[in-house]
Amino acid sequence: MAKITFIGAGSTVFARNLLNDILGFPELADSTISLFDIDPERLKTSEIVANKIAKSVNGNPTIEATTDRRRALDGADYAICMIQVGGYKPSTVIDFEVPKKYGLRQTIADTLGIGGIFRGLRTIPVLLDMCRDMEELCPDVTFLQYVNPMAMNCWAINRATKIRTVGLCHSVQGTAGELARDIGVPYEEINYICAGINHMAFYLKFERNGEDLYPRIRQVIDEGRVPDWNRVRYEIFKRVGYFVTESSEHFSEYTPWFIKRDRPDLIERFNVPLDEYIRRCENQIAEWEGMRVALEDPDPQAIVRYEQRARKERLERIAAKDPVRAEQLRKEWEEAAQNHTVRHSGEYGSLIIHSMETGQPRVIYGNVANNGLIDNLPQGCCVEVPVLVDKNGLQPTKIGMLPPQLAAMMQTNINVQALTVEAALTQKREHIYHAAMLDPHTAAELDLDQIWSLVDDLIEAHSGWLPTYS
Amino acid sequence: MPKITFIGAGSVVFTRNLCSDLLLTPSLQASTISLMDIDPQRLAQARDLVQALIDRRGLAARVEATTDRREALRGADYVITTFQQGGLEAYALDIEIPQRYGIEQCVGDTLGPGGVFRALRTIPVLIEIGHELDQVAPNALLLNYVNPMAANCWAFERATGRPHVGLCHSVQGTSEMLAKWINVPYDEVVFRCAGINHQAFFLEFRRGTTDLYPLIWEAIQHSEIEGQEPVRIEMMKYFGYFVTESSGHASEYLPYFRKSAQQVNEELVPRFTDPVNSWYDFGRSGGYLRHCLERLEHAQADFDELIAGTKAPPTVRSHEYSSHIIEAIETNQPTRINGNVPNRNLIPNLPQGCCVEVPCLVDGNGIQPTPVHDYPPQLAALNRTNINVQELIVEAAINGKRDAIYHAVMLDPLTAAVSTLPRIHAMVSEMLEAQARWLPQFS
Repeated sequence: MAKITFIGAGSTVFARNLLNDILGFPELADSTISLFDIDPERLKTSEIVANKIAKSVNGNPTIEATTDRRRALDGADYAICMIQVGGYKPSTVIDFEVPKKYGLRQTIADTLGIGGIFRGLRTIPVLLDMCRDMEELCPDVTFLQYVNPMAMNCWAINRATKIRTVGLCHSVQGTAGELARDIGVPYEEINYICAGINHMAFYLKFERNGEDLYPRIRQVIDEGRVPDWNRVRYEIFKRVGYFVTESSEHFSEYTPWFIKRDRPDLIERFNVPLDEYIRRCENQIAEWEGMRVALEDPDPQAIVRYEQRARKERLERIAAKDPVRAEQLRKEWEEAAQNHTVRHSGEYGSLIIHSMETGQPRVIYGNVANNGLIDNLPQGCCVEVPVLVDKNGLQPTKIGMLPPQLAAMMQTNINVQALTVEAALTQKREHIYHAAMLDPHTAAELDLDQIWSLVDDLIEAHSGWLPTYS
Repeated sequence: MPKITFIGAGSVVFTRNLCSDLLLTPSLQASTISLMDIDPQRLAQARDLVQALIDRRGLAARVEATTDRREALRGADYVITTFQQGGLEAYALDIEIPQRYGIEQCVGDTLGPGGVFRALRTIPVLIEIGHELDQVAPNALLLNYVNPMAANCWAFERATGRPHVGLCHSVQGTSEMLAKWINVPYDEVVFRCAGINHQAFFLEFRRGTTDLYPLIWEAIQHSEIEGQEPVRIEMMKYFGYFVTESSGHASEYLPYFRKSAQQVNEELVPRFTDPVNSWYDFGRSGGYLRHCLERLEHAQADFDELIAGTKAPPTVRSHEYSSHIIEAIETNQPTRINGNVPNRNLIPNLPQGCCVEVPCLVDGNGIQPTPVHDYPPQLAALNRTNINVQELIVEAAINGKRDAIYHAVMLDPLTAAVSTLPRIHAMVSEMLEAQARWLPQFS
């Protein structure tokens, strides 16, 4: 049976979802799950959760927990990475607050932008170190990499190590689901091809039984039904002809068009949630804390009450944005409860493992090296394309040429990724400046002196979490 | 429910096998199967046979038969081509004329002078089908089984740009054989195979993460295994990888094995010691042509029994890809095949646009090839010697350039190894004259 290692297993909620998915497959229910985290307290919480899941499934999984990464990786068949280097505090807060002093505002700051660059710089060395352990302890491992900034992280791993890696996100399937609701077509009936780079992939085809569904997406605009929280992406669709995968709040900071310091009207008009990620992190931390307290409560009903409350709060949050989605989720949870199963999270991780172990072919969207997959993006950069998975492992499919306006937009992001990866792999400070200079949002807001000064301030503020740059 | 059209349905063995597969596929059991052939007698037999398969299982599928190709194609969702232009009569000329010039072809349907002329006869028909599809079934997918696969598909792509995939069973058959040689259950084997049709190579052959090539290296030491595949085993020894097409075929794509009738009969034929090699007469020149002539009689009895109901139809699907492809597209359940598709940077060290055989994902989005970026250079070089010939065939077929026919045969590795330029010229001229009625475009 496969050994599956969770790296950063203290991300309890995410780890729980993946564990439910994996152990919910009868063919995987006897797997060995090895949980690793550097934080013993968070690890302990995740271990309790994992053992609860293990008891509830139809099989005999082995659950181990360790703060020794090498032990966790030894002989692993799959390693799933969900770490956050530097955490919310201090690192994420610094990524938002220091740029703010220069008038540079961000929404999520985990992918691109000045925040994305520094998140990449502190994450890549940890990932490479992990991969070097894997080269020694489990060279045939399949590395399922969930950590942002996805494209930078995977590109660095592909350049510097031999570990077979796929970067995973849920934006492709998630957005397809959102569009399905917007146009009132059941998700299961939709057939799409999506390609590009992570968080900036576009649906090249969106069909039902050969019927192009794009006219229906256009109708959403024509009929004034664009959801308030999704104005940026519909605007981009209007301007480039294709719909993008990552959310409006993300997308607003990948281009120079939506956040401009002397244009507060844009923030209003496109409903751009500045500092959104800060709020999300605080919510997640509160949620985790509630879970920990409930799990440690001797009253077994405490966790049940916690789960009920957490779900209710989550539904309320979703309903505020997307009531149809909230209702759908509520029904799925209810159905699963009635069938004594757990709803599949929709994440690709468990599907990949299941396909590789059983041979059942599936298509997932993965982030892989561009070895001739998209002809008008640079060779070797990290692209998001349909990937066939079966016993042969991950087999990316050929896309060819993207519409030129989409490729051009992606190039502006790939520039930043390339320079950040270059900085991380060579430890040359100059490339950090270059990356920031080429960032579309930063370049639109600041002059070169400000950009250099901002980079200096951030290197200083993140000292301790960054290697030495010369 | 899809309409599936067979062009050349009078290839009754093939029609029977592929229709049996389709009718064993739950999601396709109410399909419309449209059979077309120019020979009304063989067409009627194919129809009776398919009708018998449907009746036997009480399925909702419908079969229709027509000699009108346009009608057969009208509204088709899938078109399966299995015709043989010029039939055995032309095929005999492909073998006999070159043999008089010292070109010892065993199968002669893929490369060599035989492959060149088969392509020249076939390509115009495939292109006509493509143009008719533009008019009467613009969304149809072509599943081409007609050889020479690579030249035909390449020309079809150049002339029509229509969706298509070229299908063969050499990858499945070879992988099954290798699994048997090393005693590993077939369903536990995983492999990665790529190259060009009939000359693709198993780049990986594994069980889980365990490389099975060491077991293959061991197996080929045994003389009874050597006697099954002497040519392919020799190729593996010198090129490092196992090739997909059988030893009879494989020997004629290379300059090394068939330099003279004497070398064929005294050195090569005695190495084929296993009865599995009988279908190409143990590597003898013209072996497959003789097999085709004999098979006609054998098959007849078989068809009669199936139609009469005295013989039970197959109960499991064969390893042919077509039913799996159509099922995957119709149900949007993914499957993996090895298909022949245009080389749009799929194998970077083979020419752009040529026809390559690579792993493809198939689902509701159609045929989606996967790139192979680590193709060993010696295999690419060997493929390129074959692709040279294919490229010149396509040039001749599409642009009507008579010179390109001569160039194609001049570049054929086997022909070049045994003949001279003046003799090649004379041979090609003789073949052009003898086959003029199937090659109106060059008269």
